[in-house]
Amino acid sequence: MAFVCRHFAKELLRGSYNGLYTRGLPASSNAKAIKEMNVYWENNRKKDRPISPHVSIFQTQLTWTLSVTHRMTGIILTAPFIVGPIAYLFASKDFGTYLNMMKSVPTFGEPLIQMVKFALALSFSFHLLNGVRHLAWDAMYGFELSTVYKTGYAVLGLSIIFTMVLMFI
Amino acid sequence: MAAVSLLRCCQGARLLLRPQIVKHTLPGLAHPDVASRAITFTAPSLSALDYFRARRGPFTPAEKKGHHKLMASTHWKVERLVAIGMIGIMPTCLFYHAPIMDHLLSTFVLLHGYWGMEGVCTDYIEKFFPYIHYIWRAVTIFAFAGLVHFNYNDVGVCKAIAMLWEL
Repeated sequence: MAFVCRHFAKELLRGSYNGLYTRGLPASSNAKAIKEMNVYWENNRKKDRPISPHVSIFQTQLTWTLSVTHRMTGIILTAPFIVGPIAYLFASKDFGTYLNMMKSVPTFGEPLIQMVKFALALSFSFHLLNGVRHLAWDAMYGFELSTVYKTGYAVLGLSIIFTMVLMFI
Repeated sequence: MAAVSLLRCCQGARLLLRPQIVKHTLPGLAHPDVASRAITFTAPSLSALDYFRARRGPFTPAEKKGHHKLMASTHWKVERLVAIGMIGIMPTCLFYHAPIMDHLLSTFVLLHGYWGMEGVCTDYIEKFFPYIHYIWRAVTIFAFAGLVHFNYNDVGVCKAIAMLWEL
């Protein structure tokens, strides 16, 4: 156990192998290729060679922005469902007390709750509507590019409307 | 006792750092023609470290087949069924507060969130830290335990979200 921890610490501190784990590979061609790749990257880092732009020059398109947003809203929605119960396992008071404590924070309490509500409502509506779009794709509907764009804009508009509905429930 | 086993592990580290010296042998046999004067290891001592060693990818067809209990297509179908189920559960939770809705909501949301974050871990994190999958599974189980505890001993998730919303 201690050996495993020290092994990882040495790997991380060393900073070589591009941060990827390559220890103990079999002597196959894949393993040799990975070793060559590491040598190549060591040279690049030593000589400080720039990388050609590939992510930054990709044109902003609705397709991938909505996909990234779908993933981010998913993470935003999962976080309270993970952090909340784990924090609650160590809590001493009940949920209503904690809510009132947060509400009664001076000057920031109520706006904070409203901001949290808005963030959750926006994430939830977008993720729900885009999730329906994903399920439609899984059922083989709507793959033509024009349909993708139409449904994309529809999801954007509907999620704003849905958020407003949720905020004023 | 612990120090002795620690020292033996350190000897294994020195060998692992030079993989061309280590030869994977049949269990229990020392390899007869190790050219260097390094300490030879027999497979049983290596196998414990093998378990913890991070590998970059499946290499042989047997490894690529994996040790799955479900076919991948079946798992995919279960994921979509859970997603479709959530579409029905969400509005029902709003106005029907009952223990069954608490349990359904917590189960479906955590399952869906677990699979989603598994994708995030696979895409971004496992190339730097391969053991994130074990950590994420443990965290999810822990969070599910917390949700069951919350549903049983406190107001329950449906009522809790309603309380948060009414503020």
